Amino acid sequence: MRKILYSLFLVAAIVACQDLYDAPPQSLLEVKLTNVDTLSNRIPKVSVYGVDQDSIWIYQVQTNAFRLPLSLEETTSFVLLLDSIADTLTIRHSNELIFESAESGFYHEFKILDVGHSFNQIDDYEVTDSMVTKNWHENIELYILSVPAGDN
Amino acid sequence: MKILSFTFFLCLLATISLGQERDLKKKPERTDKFIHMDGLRVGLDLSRSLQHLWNKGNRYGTELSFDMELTPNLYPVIETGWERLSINHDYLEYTSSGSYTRFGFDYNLLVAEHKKDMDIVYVGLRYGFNFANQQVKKYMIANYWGDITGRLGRQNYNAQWAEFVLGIKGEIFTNFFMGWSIRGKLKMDQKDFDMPHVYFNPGYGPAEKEFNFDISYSIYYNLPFNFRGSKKE
Repeated sequence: MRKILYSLFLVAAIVACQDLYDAPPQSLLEVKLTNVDTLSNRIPKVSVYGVDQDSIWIYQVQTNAFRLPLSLEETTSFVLLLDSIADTLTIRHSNELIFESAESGFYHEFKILDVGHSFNQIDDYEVTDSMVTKNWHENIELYILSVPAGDN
Repeated sequence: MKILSFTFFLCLLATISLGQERDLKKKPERTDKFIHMDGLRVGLDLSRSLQHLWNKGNRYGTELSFDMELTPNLYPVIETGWERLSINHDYLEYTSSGSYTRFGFDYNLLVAEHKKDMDIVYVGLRYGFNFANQQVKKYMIANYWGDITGRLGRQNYNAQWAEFVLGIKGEIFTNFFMGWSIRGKLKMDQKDFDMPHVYFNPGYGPAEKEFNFDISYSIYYNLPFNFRGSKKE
């Protein structure tokens, strides 16, 4: 009986030591790439870094959808390299601080107000959902040229 | 035929119900309609300082209780205490603390074996309220564009709730008792904020839940003050 009580106490003590906390969620802007030429099935190699940032967010990943982190400034600008051809993408947005829980802390949600871009590979854009939340979903669809602009 | 079967079924149900009612009426009246415990019982809840063992974060507190047998088997109770919860990790430093009080009564279900038998098994009801404050001393949000840190000022709030209690108190030495209770807590009212929401209610528990379970383990001393001037055989 005493052994059982000691065991229960030990289990309770171990459980008590395991206060594990999750990192807060992150709201990421999701971008989908669509070829202007509907017959093309081009999937470009994508690299992304923030303007004036030293670190690369995405490096040479072949994909037609990716997610981007927004800053707390009024605008956030990225350099997008689609098959090594650079475009800039600028998002004007508002942000709101959200309390998730005491276990994980705070995070931000964003609302897209405007989008600007250069025209090297990006032809046009459409905001599919302006709310950037912790439940990641498509926010912007970028229409890209099927072949690099210089090859036209 | 269906109507006959249905009528028979209804008659059977009515007979069973009547039989049960008669059984209830037959229940003998209590034989211990006398004051078991003179004086005022003061208790200290030992479980309040050990709550971090089964709760997230560092939760601790102190609670005192006072009860007396006002009429046979009915014990008005006051419980008052203080609690604090602090949660510290990489992303948040949160503290909440406050004092709380509960009023109510316990009813003893255990029929005493003799006049000095002060052991009780009880059910009880409480009304509880608290005055508390919370503060986010620091928060950190990891971000590609640079980590974001901030803090939020102290916020005062209060809450009210009802409690249903089931427990025992047994006399281990003369006038010394030990006991435990299981408690169901039902939130009635809560002052809340948009940023951040109230996370913890002293005396109640996690604020986001409308219903909380709790356990307590206490020691008691009965101050043998015979305010009625009655004599025990």
